Amino acid sequence: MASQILEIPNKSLNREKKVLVVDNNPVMLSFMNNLLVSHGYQVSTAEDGLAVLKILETERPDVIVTDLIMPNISGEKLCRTIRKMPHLKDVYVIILSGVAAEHESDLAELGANVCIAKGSFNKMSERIMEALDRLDSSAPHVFANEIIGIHDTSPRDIAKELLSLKGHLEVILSSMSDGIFEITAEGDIIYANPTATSIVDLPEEMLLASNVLQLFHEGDRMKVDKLFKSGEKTAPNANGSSYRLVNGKDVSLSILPIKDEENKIIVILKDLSDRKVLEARLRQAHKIEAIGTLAGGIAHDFNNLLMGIQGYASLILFDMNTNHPHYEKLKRIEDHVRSGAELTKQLLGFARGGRYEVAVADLNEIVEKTSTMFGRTKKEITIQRKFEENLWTVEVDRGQIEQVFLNLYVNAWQAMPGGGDIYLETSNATINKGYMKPFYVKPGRYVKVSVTDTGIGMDEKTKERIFEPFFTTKEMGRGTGLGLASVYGIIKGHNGIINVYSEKGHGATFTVYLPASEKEFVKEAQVSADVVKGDGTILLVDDEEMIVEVSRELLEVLGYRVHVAKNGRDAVEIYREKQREIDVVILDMIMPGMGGGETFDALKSINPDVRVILSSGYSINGKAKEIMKRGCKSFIQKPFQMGDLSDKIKKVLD
Amino acid sequence: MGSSKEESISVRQMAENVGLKEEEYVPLLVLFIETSICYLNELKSDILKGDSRKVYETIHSIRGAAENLGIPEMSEIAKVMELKARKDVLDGAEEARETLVEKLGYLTEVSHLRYN
Repeated sequence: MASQILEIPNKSLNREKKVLVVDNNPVMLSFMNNLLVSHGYQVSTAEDGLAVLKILETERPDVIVTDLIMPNISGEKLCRTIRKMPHLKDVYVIILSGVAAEHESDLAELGANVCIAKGSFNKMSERIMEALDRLDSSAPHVFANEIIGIHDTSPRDIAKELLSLKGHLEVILSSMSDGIFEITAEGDIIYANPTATSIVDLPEEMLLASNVLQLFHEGDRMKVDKLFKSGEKTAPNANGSSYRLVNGKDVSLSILPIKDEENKIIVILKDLSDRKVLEARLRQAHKIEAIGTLAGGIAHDFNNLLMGIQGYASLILFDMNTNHPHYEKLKRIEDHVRSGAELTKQLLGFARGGRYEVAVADLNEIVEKTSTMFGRTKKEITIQRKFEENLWTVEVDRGQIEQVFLNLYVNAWQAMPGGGDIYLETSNATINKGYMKPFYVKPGRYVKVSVTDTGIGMDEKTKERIFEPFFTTKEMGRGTGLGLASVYGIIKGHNGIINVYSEKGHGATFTVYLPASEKEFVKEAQVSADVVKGDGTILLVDDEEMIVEVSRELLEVLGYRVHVAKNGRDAVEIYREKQREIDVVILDMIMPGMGGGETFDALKSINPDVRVILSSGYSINGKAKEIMKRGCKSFIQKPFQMGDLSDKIKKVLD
Repeated sequence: MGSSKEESISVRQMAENVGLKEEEYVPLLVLFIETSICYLNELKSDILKGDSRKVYETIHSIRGAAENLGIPEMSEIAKVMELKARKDVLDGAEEARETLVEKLGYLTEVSHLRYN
């Protein structure tokens, strides 16, 4: 009986075989040691998974006999880790456990060759020796799919509960967005959740039993070590500190020391790299906003300068005979002022950002206008146009759509560093359900505009990302990566679609589809440039000396008497005194101290029927529009010509 | 306790029950007693602290070793205690622990007498 088991049948055969036994129960270790040594095996023992991994750094056993439930690194984790180590792939693994039968995971999947249920020593030793005999046979090693001695297992319900609870906690830990390490007081890793392995870019088998400090950049190791040794619980990023890992990532650390005899530590890592990218994007967005504000300010000042040039040109032209040798030259100055004003309008449009004012529009006209303007600035580009004559109308925010096409032209121009052709084509398109499906827009009538360049083209990867915000193929500092992203955003905001067709080296075509409108486009009435003389008294309110001078002269030439106020407060004073005499107030919108809006409200409180023309270097959108809503009669954008001014005053007086 | 002769037979019987020679069995029994003394001391403070998880883990070890060595009078008590601790129930745990201490005392005497 018992003695039979401990006989030594093939002691010499086994002399070479090394067996590593892992169990936290010293009785079990002692028994196994006696049993195996008596059968001629070389035996080493370990009390838990962590100790095993340390041993395996220098030794390669032929057989590992392991328990499943152990402190630190469990038997299950140990098996998986062993199987992932290339030099231990062929080691023969025997699981010896009282709870093997209750294990809900596939034991073969763990990589065990044999699973033996624990029980009394006699039965257990028979099975262990049988299993070891299999190793000596020529039969191929297969992973276990059955548990030997299952009928001997006891408190199954208890173990099942334990394992399912453990499984539940494992699921929670695995799904956490923070990285979690459990380390010993010496810093050896005994647990790492999947997020932690992904943050440090190392697989679990390489992490377990390695020292956590090795994961940190050399310069930060002392700091991290000090943090671990402090024994203090710390909140994540409590002092704003970040620590650099060897893989270059920055992490914040939160420490939870476990106050027991083993003094283990739970370390929570947060990857700060993503946050840093987001912060950079936010900074970029703020920068764009700041540039917008700056651009708006520049446009305002620039319009005032243009106002001076325009005003004096108008004054000279007013009395000049068309045969005068300087007449044409002065007319050219007016043209250049107009071009300058167009440019500032673009800047103001950029500064305006995101406002959405829909009106019926003709895309032929918008494409024509924007491309002409673009073509003037880029002489190396030839623009070819093919427009549908009876193009359906669209309902769009004109400023935004102009921005879309300008961005597409700029993109085309950048794709053709040595110059080339841009082909613009407009057409009507009825689009069916099938085509629209991937774009989540309604089928129906659309106006199609395509912008084609003959440039360098794009590869598939670039095409996939071309509309992503902040994506740019240009070197750092040259492109914001916002151009095509804003194009995409604007078109989407108009319930339209944009797609791109391109092949590397063969140019690109961006096609925009915008929903067609049933409404008719009515061209904005052109302001009459004819100068009509008038009669009356004007209160001119502006803080800019140059504007005051030129405007006063223009008004006097037109036949009006002029009172001047250099700020809002003076304007209110003068109006209070001379309201019976003053017919119209021309009021600048942006002034230091009491601005145009506040001044308008004060004038209105003196006379609810006060006739005010708001004047601004900014566009009518934004603040001006609000003042108009409060009852202001008219708006004139600087720089204005004498004809515009006489027309506006006349309309207000009528 | 019975006579020295009876006890000696009892240990031999226990060894035979698990397929071991008496001289192989007794050192394991001594080791079991030594570790169990530590475990039972730990259990006392864990029960007082109400740390049912720790109680479970410790009693699980005692139960396993008792089964290995074929000591049902200890493994059965441990099994019940283990089941309850798993369910966070520590009522009666101290009484069960004291019973195990008594049983261990008996085993200590048996092994001591035989090998002194």
